[in-house]
Amino acid sequence: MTRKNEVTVVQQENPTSLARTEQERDYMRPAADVYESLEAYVLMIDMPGAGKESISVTMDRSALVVKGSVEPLHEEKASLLVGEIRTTGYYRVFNLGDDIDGNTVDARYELGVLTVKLFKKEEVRPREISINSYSGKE
Amino acid sequence: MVLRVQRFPVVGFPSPHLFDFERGIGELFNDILDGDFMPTLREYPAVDVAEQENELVILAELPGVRKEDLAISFHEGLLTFGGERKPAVLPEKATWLRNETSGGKFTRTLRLPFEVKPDEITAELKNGVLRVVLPKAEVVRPREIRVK
Repeated sequence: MTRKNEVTVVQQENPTSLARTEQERDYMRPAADVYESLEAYVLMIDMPGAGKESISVTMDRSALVVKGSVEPLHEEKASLLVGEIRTTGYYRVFNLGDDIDGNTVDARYELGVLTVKLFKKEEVRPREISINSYSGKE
Repeated sequence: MVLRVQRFPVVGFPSPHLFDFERGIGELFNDILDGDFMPTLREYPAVDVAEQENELVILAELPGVRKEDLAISFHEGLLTFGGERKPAVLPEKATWLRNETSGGKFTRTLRLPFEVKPDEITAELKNGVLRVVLPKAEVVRPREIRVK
């Protein structure tokens, strides 16, 4: 992945503020896909139209807050014949479990999708234990 | 000589504000229940059609769709775009915890409200939004008429 798609994740000790500005109150809750692998949780959040510079990802020990704003899509003088896209921005809070290692987080924004990879703490990652079978003399 | 002014009827263009209510209700329940309570009734992908002075602008929300997986065509006043949002490839032994996004194959056709110049249609895909600009044909452009 190229560096230009990377999004900085702000990590803080104190609980992240969940307060929203007047403008952010109209933001919609983006749809997200989440999967868990052996080493990490991966969030894929649909934020079409959001400018990469407007996207912020803030996290503390218990929550991850994602925000992003969408620039006006049309010229002021344009008359809207169909208006299904009613998005001014995105806002969503994800609660985090205590198995996440806050020090290693990757985030990137590509094709209108914000992908955040939260690595698990080393001690909670499953370990494969090889089984030796002794079937008599070798 | 018979002068025929051809205008395509505007079919299937509901009020731009119709979706606000439905989305509002859906989001209210989503917030309370922390989940996708009300699947959207809208067509996928969501589009905007805006008329500007000299062109028609069509936008479509296509997050996760690559340029090479998208095709657009124009024929007899109908603009069709279709393609596929390829699903994410999960690593080995991974499991889905949430699956809220729309994906898979899609196609949508829009009947244009007036004639456009087919050779000058341009399309751009940026940050998951497709923008198609269709310049108006000369016959439908506004014209000032001088009074002598």
